[in-house]
Amino acid sequence: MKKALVIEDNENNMKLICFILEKHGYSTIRAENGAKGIELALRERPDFILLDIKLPDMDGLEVLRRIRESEINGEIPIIAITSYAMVGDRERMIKAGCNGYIEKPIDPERVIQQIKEIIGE
Amino acid sequence: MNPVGIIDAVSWIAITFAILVLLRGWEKAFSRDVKIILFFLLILIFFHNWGNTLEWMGITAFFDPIEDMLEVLGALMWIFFFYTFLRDLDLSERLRIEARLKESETTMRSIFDNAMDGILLVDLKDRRLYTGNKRMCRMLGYTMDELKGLRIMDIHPEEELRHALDVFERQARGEFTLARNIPVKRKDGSIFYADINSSPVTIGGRDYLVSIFRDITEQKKAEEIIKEYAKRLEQEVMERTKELEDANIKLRELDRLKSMFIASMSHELRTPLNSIIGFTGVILQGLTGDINDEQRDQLQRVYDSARHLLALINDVIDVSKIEAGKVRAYVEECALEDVIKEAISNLRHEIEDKGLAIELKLPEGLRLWTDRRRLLQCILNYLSNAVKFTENGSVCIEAVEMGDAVKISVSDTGIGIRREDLPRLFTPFVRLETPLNLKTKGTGLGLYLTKKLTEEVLKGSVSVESEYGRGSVFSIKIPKELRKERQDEEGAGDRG
Repeated sequence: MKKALVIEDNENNMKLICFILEKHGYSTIRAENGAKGIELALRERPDFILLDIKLPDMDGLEVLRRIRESEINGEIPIIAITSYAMVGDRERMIKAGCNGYIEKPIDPERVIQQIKEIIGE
Repeated sequence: MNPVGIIDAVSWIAITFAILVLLRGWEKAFSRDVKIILFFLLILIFFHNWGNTLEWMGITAFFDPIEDMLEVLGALMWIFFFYTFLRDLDLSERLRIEARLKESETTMRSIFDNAMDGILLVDLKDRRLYTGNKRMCRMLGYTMDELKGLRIMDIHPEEELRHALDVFERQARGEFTLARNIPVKRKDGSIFYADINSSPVTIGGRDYLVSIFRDITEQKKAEEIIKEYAKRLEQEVMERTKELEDANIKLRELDRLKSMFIASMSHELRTPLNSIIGFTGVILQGLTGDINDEQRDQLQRVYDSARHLLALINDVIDVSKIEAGKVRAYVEECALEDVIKEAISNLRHEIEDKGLAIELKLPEGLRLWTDRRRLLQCILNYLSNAVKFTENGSVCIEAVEMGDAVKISVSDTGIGIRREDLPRLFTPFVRLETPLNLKTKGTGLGLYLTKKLTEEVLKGSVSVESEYGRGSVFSIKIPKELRKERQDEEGAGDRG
């Protein structure tokens, strides 16, 4: 069973994403802020990370940078969760080393397919 | 002598008279000399006649010597008379010339004295003022007598004397004629400024400098007043401009704040909406277990409404961001065909539902450097309208290259638009009255947004042609290669 780390501060989004992931056979660990996200990423070594780019304590970009600079550099696919009309963030995230992005609102029908494509399943 | 001699003499006098009168006019016929000569002539004639009378009386011998003497005297008189007559002729000529000279001088003098400018004649031998006109005297405050004999240095202020003398010398040498803005000192010591126009002249073997002084004090004053007014006006204009600019900045700031407010407000609205759409979608998908048909129908309505609301909010965000000047182009290379196919793919459900045919007429392999996502958005707006308002028939997407630009048109065989409604099309929240209105839903912002995006992000233009009942053609014309701009698009208020 693949393990997904979801870094997302909005409780509803967190539940929704985790619910869909679990329904499709993934296990999930949850972080509601950037610092906890980085800590869990290092400790739990998830198979992939879903990262919201707006977090209460730090920019998603910063979280991405820190994970990429750590010893798990490059090993874990990171998927940004971006909002519609947030072109700038999206491009910045890809440039900073994100493997892909999914757009909010999450489309339950397509989101799993999108994730699989990005992590290469 | 005989009595006829008298007649002789009288005739001579009459002829002389006549000639004089003819030559010199009645008034001036005689000078004093002529009058004396005539007087003597009359005496001569008297004695002449006296002689004749005696002769007639037979006492001739006694008077002969007298008569001889009278004859000689008479001859002398005639000579003297002719001399005087000729001299008078010459004199009258001279008088005439004199009169003419005097007249000429009077004319010159009156011109000289009445000139608007001061005129000065300076003797170049001793550098003293030789004469000047009345105007010059008035300018300087001297009487004519005082003026004559003044030195150059007397009529210029000491501080500027060196310059004034230099100018004088150079004008005297004929190096130039007009010297501007030279300070001149009056008798009372006050100063005025003059333009001095001087030329050296020679009169009666002596060298002079004729200088014409134009008092430019008034002119300078006027110029200064004008300058002052201009300055004040400029200042006024600057102040007003500043006020306007300030007001403008305030207005723009307010407008920006309004747009920012709407953008962030809408963003906040979107977050809970995402949850509604997400969870409803999950339930509809059956991930939470089975639901009955009624539940499915009702949840589908919730889902569709939430989707519609989201579209509306997204449009509002886009519009307010464009209006706040926060949208910049993200230029990337893309194939036009791919963009159009993506738009069609996004709308495939609607197209399939209506059974519409989609026709493509594109230049092969056309690649663009533009904001792909915004271009897609524009084409999508046009295409979704075309699909929305066409019940039967087809929709055609056509692209034509026009030099550096490309014109992309979406034409349909739909309901068309009334001519009078065309100008309102691209304004916000306009929903035209159409037979399909009740069946179609939209945000009322689509075309406005397309126009804004095309003009402000894609740097192009929009246009529309339509025939009511027959269909419409909506077009955008954009540059094939959009200049890259700074890549710092959206601000912090828009995260999420």
